[in-house]
Amino acid sequence: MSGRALISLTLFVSLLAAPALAGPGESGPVAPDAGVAAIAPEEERALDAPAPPAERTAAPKPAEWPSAPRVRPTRRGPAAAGCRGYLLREWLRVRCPGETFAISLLGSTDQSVAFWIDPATKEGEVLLPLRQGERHVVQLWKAGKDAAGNFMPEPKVVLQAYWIEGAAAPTVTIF
Amino acid sequence: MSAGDGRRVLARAGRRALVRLALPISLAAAGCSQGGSAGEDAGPPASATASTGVPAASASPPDPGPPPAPGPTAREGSAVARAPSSDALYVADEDHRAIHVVPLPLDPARPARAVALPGPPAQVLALGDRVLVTVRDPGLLVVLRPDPAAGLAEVARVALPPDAWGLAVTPDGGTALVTSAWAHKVSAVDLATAAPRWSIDVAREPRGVVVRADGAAAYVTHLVGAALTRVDGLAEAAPSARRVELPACPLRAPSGRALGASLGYAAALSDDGGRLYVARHALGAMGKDAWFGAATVDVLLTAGDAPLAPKHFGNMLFLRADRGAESEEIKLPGGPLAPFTQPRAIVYRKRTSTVLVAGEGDDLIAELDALSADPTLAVVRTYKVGAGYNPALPVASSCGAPAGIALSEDEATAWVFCRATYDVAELALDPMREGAPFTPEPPRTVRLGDEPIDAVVATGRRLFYNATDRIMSGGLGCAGCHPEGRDDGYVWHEAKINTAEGTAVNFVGVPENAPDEDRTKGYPRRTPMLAGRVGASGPYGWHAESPDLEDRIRNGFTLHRWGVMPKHEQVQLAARAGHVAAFLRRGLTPPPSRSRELTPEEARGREVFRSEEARCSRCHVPETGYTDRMAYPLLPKLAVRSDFDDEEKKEFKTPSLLFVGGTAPHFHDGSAGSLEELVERNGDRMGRTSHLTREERAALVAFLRTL
Repeated sequence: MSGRALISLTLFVSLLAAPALAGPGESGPVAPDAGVAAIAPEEERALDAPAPPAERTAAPKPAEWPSAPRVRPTRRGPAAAGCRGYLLREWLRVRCPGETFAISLLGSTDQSVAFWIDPATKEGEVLLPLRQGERHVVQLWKAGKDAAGNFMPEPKVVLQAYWIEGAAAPTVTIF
Repeated sequence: MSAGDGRRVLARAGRRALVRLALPISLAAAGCSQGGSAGEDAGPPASATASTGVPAASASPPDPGPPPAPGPTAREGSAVARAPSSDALYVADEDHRAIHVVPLPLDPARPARAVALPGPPAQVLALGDRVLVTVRDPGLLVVLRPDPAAGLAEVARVALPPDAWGLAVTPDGGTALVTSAWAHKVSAVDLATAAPRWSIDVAREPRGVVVRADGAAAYVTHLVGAALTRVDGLAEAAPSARRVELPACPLRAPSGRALGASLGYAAALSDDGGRLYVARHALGAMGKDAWFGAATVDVLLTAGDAPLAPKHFGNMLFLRADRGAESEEIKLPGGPLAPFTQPRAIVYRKRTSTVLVAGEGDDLIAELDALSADPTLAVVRTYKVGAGYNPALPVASSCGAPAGIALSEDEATAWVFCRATYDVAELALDPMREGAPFTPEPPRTVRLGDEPIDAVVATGRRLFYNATDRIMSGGLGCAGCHPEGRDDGYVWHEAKINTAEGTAVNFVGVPENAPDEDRTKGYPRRTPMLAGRVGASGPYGWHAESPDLEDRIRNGFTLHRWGVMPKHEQVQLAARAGHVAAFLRRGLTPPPSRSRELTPEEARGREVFRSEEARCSRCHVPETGYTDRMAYPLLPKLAVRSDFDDEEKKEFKTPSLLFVGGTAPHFHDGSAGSLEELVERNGDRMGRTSHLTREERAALVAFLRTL
């Protein structure tokens, strides 16, 4: 994606979700600088090993992500077989392989959710906080066709993340 | 990375945006009506008496030798239950008025044994040494024990309020809770003495009942309305009931709205008791072509009685790779509206942390991830149980309309009772082992009985449940709005919809179900009750626009869908309408009612009703089902509800008053929440009631409740 295209898309997103896009040095979530490929593959660990801390922290800086451990969703359906999750403090970052046409927040109790579509790979990525009491449902879409052969977005995966008050760990499902 | 390096695109939900949303949402939620409030339009308290010591049907004594019987296989009743010893299934077959004892392993060569009951059963529950059965009419809890000769032998029967339906036992096994649907009661029965302990009034059409793991409280689902009822103090002499809000399918709700629900037949608790799964239909849930809404499983966290799924806001964050404009379709869950239609039963599968839901309308069992906040967005697998579809009238000849599910002890097998075809299907469930591929096999089935009525009615019954015939409707069977021929208590929107195929007049659950570009709110159309009200030749329709029932049904086929009806032969339409009309008239069972002496107040109400001053009986003619089937101007017009369009036509057909005491809200627009409200606000709009004293109005309402 060209710089000009990014700017216009950024503007579009900003109009929908004021305040405008946060950049480095601003508070709130920031797109990870390092690509997923830069993160060393390792074993997935459970979400409760250990559970995310109770303290609220700002979204990780890009430089922090390479050290983030991979985490295993509580449950993952076949469509999400390739999706990878990374956990840094209470921040969960999920990236799913394959082209993503769109990402939408279907429901949430918090405003800190963010997502990206890599302009080069078209892969979609979601960043959200796992905090007690909060719930998020995000849908990733892919390009599809209707019966007449016309373009039509199709569901790709649905990410559901929440942490019930008092539970030992959050729950993350991807189907 | 920074936003400016051109490599990635970032979207964020802004605090300001959410703050802007919060105010209208809370205002809207405060005014949301879901129908069927607790205590609304309630009838008089029912008396419950015990009848113990009923002679057993068999002389065979229980065998004292074996060790203590194993515990119950489930604590909630269902249309089918597995014996704790796993050597039989018990199937509650309403139409045959019997419990079928089906030997296990399932084998068509080993016939089931039918045990006659004093009335049509609704649910069965197998305890260690007893089998409990609810009977609808007369309202009973029948206690039986396994009997080698007869299959089951009666031990006791307990009289309960009419239409005894849902069933559950407390964790200690000492108390059975029973819902009485038409009587809108929940009752407790002491199983040690087979005596009723208490009976309390709840909202309309209580059905499923589930006791909390601590045994202190129970949740009750309703066929009408989204709210549950929680009953506390089960062990006390005077328990209390309160309403628990559980908005239906929040991720598919229009922004700031809480959707109503119907078809709340059943609920199931998670293994740890922390979550309650309620399978039902979300009225007006949004999605592609969702004129009627969508089936849903809503999760309640029992620790605080709060819904698990987050709310959906219309302006929620989204991002498109093509930088395209905002589009509704990607802001709502995609794909099929729901993995099942017309949920009828639900069970929790502990081994896999999943729930299994029976889809009455599409003849399947859906297995959903029970860990997800919205399980319908996490489909593990669907098992088709229906088979042998008729090419002309596409209804299943085998396992149509699944209505109950029971699990094997190891939870590897599910048995499903199908109420449209009277058979039991055995399903091998996905073991869900990582790396172990699973291919569902066609279920094995055993037929339990022949059609109890002629073939025309039998086909009509199958059509009535079926949601897959594209000529009859767009994805929802007749039973979706008229469960058991009753009503969903909902006021639909009769709206104009423009589609690529043309303009159509359709019913939609909420105005947002109609396309944006030509959105109208639509005219209000309260779902009428059918059972016991469709004997007359005609006319039918709120405006008396259909000369006969078959014409009304054909009209329904065009109204109850998204857009225009697909091309078809007229004969196809007529055949379907004929079958359905036959079932409505001869196959539906009206709610229980008993002729009895009127109380003095009710008798006074009858005098008022028939008086020349009030003139009620001039149009609501007692001899013809309390209607003259004529349309009259309703003047002065009812105030236009803000969520509907004003209707030019002033004439509305006199509705039958049969069963009116159990069908709130009233009027074609549902604007009267109770009979008291209707009479109080009537003035001289219908007959003349403005002169009636308070006592006379109360008497009139008391009489109406007896019809």
